[in-house]
Amino acid sequence: MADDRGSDFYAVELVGVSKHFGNVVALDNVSLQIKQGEFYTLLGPSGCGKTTTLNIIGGFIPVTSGTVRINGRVVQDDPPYRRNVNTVFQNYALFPHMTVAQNIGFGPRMKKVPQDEIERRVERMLQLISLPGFGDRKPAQLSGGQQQRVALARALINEPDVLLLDEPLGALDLKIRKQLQGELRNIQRKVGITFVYVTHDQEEAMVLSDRIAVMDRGKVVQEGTPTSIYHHPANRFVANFIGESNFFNGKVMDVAADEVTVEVPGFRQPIRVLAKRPVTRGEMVTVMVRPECMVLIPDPSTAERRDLVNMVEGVIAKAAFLGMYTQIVVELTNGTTALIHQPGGGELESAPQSLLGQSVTLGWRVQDGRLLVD
Amino acid sequence: MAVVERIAGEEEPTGRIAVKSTQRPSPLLWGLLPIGLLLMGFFLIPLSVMVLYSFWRVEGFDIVRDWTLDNYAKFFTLPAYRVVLLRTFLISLAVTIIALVVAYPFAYFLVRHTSPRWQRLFLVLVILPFWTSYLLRVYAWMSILGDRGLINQALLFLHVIKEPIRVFLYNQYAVVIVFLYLYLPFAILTIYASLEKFDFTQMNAAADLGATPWQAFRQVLLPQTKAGVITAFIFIFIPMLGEYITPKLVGGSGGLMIANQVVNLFRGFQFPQGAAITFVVVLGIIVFLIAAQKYLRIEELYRR
Ligand SMILES: Nc1ncnc2c1ncn2[C@@H]1O[C@H](COP(=O)(O)OP(=O)(O)OP(=O)(O)O)[C@@H](O)[C@H]1O
Ligand SMILES: [Mg+2]
Repeated sequence: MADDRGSDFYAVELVGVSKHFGNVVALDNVSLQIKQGEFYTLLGPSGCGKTTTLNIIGGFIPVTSGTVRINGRVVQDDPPYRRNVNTVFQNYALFPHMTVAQNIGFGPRMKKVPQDEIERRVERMLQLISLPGFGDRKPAQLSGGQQQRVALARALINEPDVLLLDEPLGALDLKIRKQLQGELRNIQRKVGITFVYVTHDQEEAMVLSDRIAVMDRGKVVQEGTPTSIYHHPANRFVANFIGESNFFNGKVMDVAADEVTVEVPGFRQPIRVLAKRPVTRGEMVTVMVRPECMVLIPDPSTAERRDLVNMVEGVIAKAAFLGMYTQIVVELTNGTTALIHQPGGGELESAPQSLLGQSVTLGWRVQDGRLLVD
Repeated sequence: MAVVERIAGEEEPTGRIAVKSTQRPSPLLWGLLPIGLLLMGFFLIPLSVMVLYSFWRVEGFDIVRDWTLDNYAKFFTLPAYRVVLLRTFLISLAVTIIALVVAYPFAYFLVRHTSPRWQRLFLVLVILPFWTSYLLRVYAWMSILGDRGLINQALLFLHVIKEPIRVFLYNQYAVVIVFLYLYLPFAILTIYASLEKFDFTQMNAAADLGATPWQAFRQVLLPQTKAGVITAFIFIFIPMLGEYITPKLVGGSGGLMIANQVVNLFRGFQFPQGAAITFVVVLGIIVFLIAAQKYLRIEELYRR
C-alpha cells in the first residue's frame, strides 16, 4: 500500500463488478486480475459483455457495483481523463478533421507537452507502426489497416499503464488481420505495456494472448493461458467456444481415487476419465474429447497396448482431407456423431471418400477425456 | 479565392469537366432556366433599378436624374441613420448569438439523450410554429407582452404590481425576444442536422486521450459541427437585417430597424435616399457572404 504503482500490483483488477442497463444485466459479479505487461484477452460471443468490461476499465460507463483498481489504485469514480489508460476503439474513432500527425499527437497536446517534443514523439510512433511519411494525410486517405495502426499509435504515444483494444481488427479482412496480429504482438512486446484485448475470434485470442478470460452472458466462465483453457475447459460452453469437441453424456458408475467411470447409454463399454473434479456416483456428467485425441483403430485387439482404453464403435459418415489433417465424422452406436481429426498422410489422404460407410472403432486414452459437470 | 481553389481541386483528378465543355450544353443548364428567369425578373432587374435611383435625387415630388453621391454621403454622415444601422446590426447579432447558444445545447440534448421517437416529437414541436403565419405569431407575442397581456395579468394577479406596466413591449428588448422566438427553429434544425451525423465515439476517444469535456468540445465536436453553426448564423443574421414587421409592431420608436427607416423614406417619396441605404445593406451582406462562403457548406449539412 506504500507504493502507488509498480509490479506489486495488478495492472487491472476487477472485484465483484456488476453492470446493469435498466433490467439488462450486462456484467454479473465479474472478477479479473490482469498482470503487468500481460497480453490479456476477453473472449466471448456477441453480447456477452466484453465491450462493457472495457468501458468500465476505461471509465466510459459507471459500474453498478464492485471495485475497479488500476495499478492498485481504486478508480471506479474517476473520469476517463484521470485514468492512465488508453483505448483503441472498435471503429477506431479517429478524428476525421485532423491529419494523422495531429491525431497521434492529440493526447500529448491535451497535456500541454511542448510542440517540438510532440513532433518528435509522433515521428517515433509513425516509425513504430511502419507508416513514416504519412503524418500529413487525413484518416480518410488511409486504408482500414492503416487507420487501425494510427489508432494504435494515438493511444500508445501516451505511454499508458494499460491499453484497451476493442476488436481492433474486427473490420479488416482475413489476410490483413493475420498480418496485423503479428504486428500487434510485436509492438506489445516492444513497448511492454499491458494490453487488454477484446475479440470474439477464438483463434485470434489463442494466437495473441498470454492469458484469456472466456465470457458468457455477463460472467467470466474461465480465466487461463490459451493451452490450459484449451486442454482443461471449465465447462461445455468453453469447450465448444474454443476449438472443436465431442461430448458424451452419461451417468457416473464408479468413482476411484484418480479415475471415474461413466456409463453412456448406447455404448458397449463405459468411458474412463481422470477424476479432475469431485463427482458422486449416479451423477449425470459430460465427457469431452478433442477431435485430435481420437484415433481410428484398425485392430481393436492391439488397442490396449497403446493405452486406448476407451473405445466406441460407429460408421464413417463423412470424410474430408483438409491439408493438415483429415476430418472424419463417425455415426456412433448411440445415435450421436463424433468428429475426429487424423493427421494427414498415408491411405487416408489419397482416398478419404473410400472410407465412407466403413464400420470403425474409435479410441482415446484416459487422460484425453475431460469430465465436465455442466 | 477559396472558390477558385475548390473548383480547381475538384476538376483535377477526373478531368471530366474539360470533356463536358466540348459537348452540347448539358441538360443541367436547361434546368437552371426557370430559376434564372425568376431571379432576373424579380431580383436582378429591380435591384438594378434601385441602384440607379440611389444615384439620383428628388426635387419636391419629382425624381431628377442628375448623377450624385449625396444620398450615400448623407447616409454615412447623418447620426440618425448611423444609430439605426448600428442598432439593426446589434439586434441581429444578439438574436443570432443567443439563438445559437440556446439551440446548440438543445440539439445536443436531443441527439445524445433522447430516443429517436422523442427526437421526432421534439423536432415536430420545433417546427410547429411555422404552421401559423408570421404575423399571427408576432401578434401572439404582443398579447403576451402587452399592457393587458399575459405577463401583466399574471403580475397583477400575484399583486407584484398595482397597475399594468409597459416595460415589456415597444422597445428593443421586445424585438429581441420576438425575433428569438421566430428564428430559434432555424438554429435548432441546422445544428441538429450536423450533430446528428457526428460519430460520438470520437468524444470517448478524446476523453480517453486526456481531453477535458471542454477541450473535447472545442477540438473535436465544434470543428466538425461548424458547418451547422455557420449555416444557422447566416440563416438568421441575414434575413434579420431586412426585418420590417416585427420592429414595427413591437419595437416602438426605440426598436426600429433599418428596413423601417427605408420604408419611411419611400413613403416620404425619398426614393433615392431609401435606395442608397438599401444598396449599402445589400453590399454589406454580399461581402459578408463571400467572406463566409468558405465555411458555408449547406450541401455537406444534408449529406448522407
Ligand atoms: N447502453 C446500453 N444500454 C442497454 N443495454 C446495453 C447497453 N450497452 C450494452 N448493453 C447490453 O449489455 C450486453 C453486453 O453488451 P456488450 O456491448 O458489452 O457486448 P459485447 O460482448 O461487446 O458484444 P459484441 O461482441 O457484439 O461487441 C448486451 O446484452 C447489450 O445489449
Ligand atoms: Mg463489443
